[in-house]
Amino acid sequence: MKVALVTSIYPFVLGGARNIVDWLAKELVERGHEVEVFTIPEYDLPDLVLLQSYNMRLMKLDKADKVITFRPQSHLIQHHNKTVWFIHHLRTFYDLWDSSYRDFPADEIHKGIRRELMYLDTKALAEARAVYSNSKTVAARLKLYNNIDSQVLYPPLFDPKEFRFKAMNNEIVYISRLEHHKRQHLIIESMRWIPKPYTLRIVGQASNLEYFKYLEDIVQNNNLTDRVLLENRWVSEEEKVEILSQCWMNVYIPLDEDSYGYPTLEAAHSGKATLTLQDSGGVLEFVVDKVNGIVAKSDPKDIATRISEVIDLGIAESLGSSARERINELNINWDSVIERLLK
Amino acid sequence: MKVLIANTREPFIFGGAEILENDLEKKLIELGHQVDKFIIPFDHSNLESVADQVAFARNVQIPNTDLVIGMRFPAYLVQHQHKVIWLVHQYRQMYDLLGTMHSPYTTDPATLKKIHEMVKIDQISLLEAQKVFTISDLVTRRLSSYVGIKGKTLNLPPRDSLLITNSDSKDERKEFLLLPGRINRMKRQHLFIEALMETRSPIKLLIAGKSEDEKYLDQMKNFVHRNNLSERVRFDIRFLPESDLSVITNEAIGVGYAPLDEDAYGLVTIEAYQRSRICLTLSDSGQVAGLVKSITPEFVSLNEKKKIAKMLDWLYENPADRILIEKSLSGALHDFLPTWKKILGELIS
Repeated sequence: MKVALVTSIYPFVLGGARNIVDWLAKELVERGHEVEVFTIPEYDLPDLVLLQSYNMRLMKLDKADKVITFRPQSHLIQHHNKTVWFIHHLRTFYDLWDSSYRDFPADEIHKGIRRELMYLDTKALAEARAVYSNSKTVAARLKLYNNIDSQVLYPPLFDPKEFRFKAMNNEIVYISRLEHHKRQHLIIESMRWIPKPYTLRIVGQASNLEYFKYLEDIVQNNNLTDRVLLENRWVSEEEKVEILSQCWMNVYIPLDEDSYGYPTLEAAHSGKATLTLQDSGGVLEFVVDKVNGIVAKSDPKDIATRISEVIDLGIAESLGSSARERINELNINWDSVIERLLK
Repeated sequence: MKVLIANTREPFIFGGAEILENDLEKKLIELGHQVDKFIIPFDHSNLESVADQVAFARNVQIPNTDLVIGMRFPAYLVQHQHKVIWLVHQYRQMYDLLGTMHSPYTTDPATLKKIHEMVKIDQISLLEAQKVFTISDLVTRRLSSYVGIKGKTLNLPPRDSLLITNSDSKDERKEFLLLPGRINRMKRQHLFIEALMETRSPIKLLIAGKSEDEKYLDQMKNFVHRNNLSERVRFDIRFLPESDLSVITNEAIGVGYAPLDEDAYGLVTIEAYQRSRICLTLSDSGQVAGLVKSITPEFVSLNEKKKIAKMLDWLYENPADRILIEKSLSGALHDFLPTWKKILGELIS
């Protein structure tokens, strides 16, 4: 089948949506499809959003048997066989309208832009053969704002075979960008109450050095230097595979994340459970408390209590193997993703 | 520096322009630049659709890049104060091909008026670029005559890190001429098949590439069948990855490439030389003939069956001389073509 993948891009910023497109393209080619990827620059600016939306209506892709769209406003393209894999809305015009993220006034002009954008989105989404969302959170927003029913289609990892269980040492790991909303500070603080010989390894790139300094201070002030390894650097895939294959438990505790997050999935493929928090959003679609991981309150003391419980009961390994089973339960694999997208 | 490559894709056709775009991206990254791509589909089956896509490209805004490098119509119409164009080719269907069988457009006054409007936008977009380079003297000449813009030729460089299967073992040579690349009437693979009727030697052909014209392919297959050439002509109809091309080029005793009046030296020609294979072409193959003339003038033939057959026989009958020539090809090519360093220096300066 001739499949065109269309996505908008924010030039020079790499992120999750691009991975999905690139990986899907490779998987489709492997299955014998002809694939083209089109990348259109788009900016989340009030002055540009409508122009960009109308512009997308001009794109012609009649030569494709199927068009799959991703990041907004790519779903506005007109095609007789369009499937939308909806990653997110232009959120400052939707759920973040009443938040500090909106950096323009809610005056008549901007309200008008918002109304027109919602109208265009709803119209274009209704034209699609199928609409998939990448999480229940996004599906709920599609229902609320556009009255569009969507099915949740979870993005798999590109090459999950790499990840495997080798052993279980005493290390709790959190591999992710060092960002305030990823809340590395909570897990570091919880180490005050987590018994020896358990240690914590936090590694990832910080976009903001202040937050890294802040984390370093927590380690220092609590005399945790010999039990917490904190590194501000990029981690290669090979190294990540190795760390997860050996660790005791994984941590992924972002604030109100849209989807379950690749770290959760990488740990599960390595047979390791993930600790997350009650307000971590999409992660809770994957992690079920005491079944395949831990869901704690967003409080260092509670995190410590819950981790100590796992230690006392000796259930880390069984939680880990349930996490791996969870991948199949949710049908997270390329075969089923592609079957549903091309249907 | 942040560099955005703006290029056009005819959906589901992969050719030299896509390879050039990928190589350009790779070399820019190697130099330490941040690179991203704006890729738009181009469907020119009718004029309304072309007009929509012209508007599309013109409307795209890219405020956060330092430089845009445009390559093909209509992607290079994008507006930016720092734009250079490395022109692969213009949209000839609205210029010299208008009114010929190669352009889908009629020449009634209403259509001409619309085409004229698009030509105007094309010209404005080219004029607003800080510099316009082209990939060959032919494209530079056309640019000058269609638009009156003086461009500078930056010929295609040799392929960077091209896969080359290298083996001197004679057993691996299978005594066929390889005709690689897309299969359509403009590429004229049939001329080599017809020439087989005039050869003395039993030289064979391998036609390996993706078909873009089933009717043309059927005509060639029928010709082969009718003239009992099935033993001598093999078709491998698919998109061949570089690794496969590398292996079969190594097995071939030469490469044939004779497109009609080609815009540029052609990646088929360049890759053949990098892989140390003689390339046969015809004097009406445009810039391809220009390159072959500079490297091995004896392998440019007139477009006549007997003359083509003579080149084929020579390849088959003179293995020692052939191998001697092969040894010099890659070096001669590298001396003749510009390096990526020179090209990036011009594009980015």
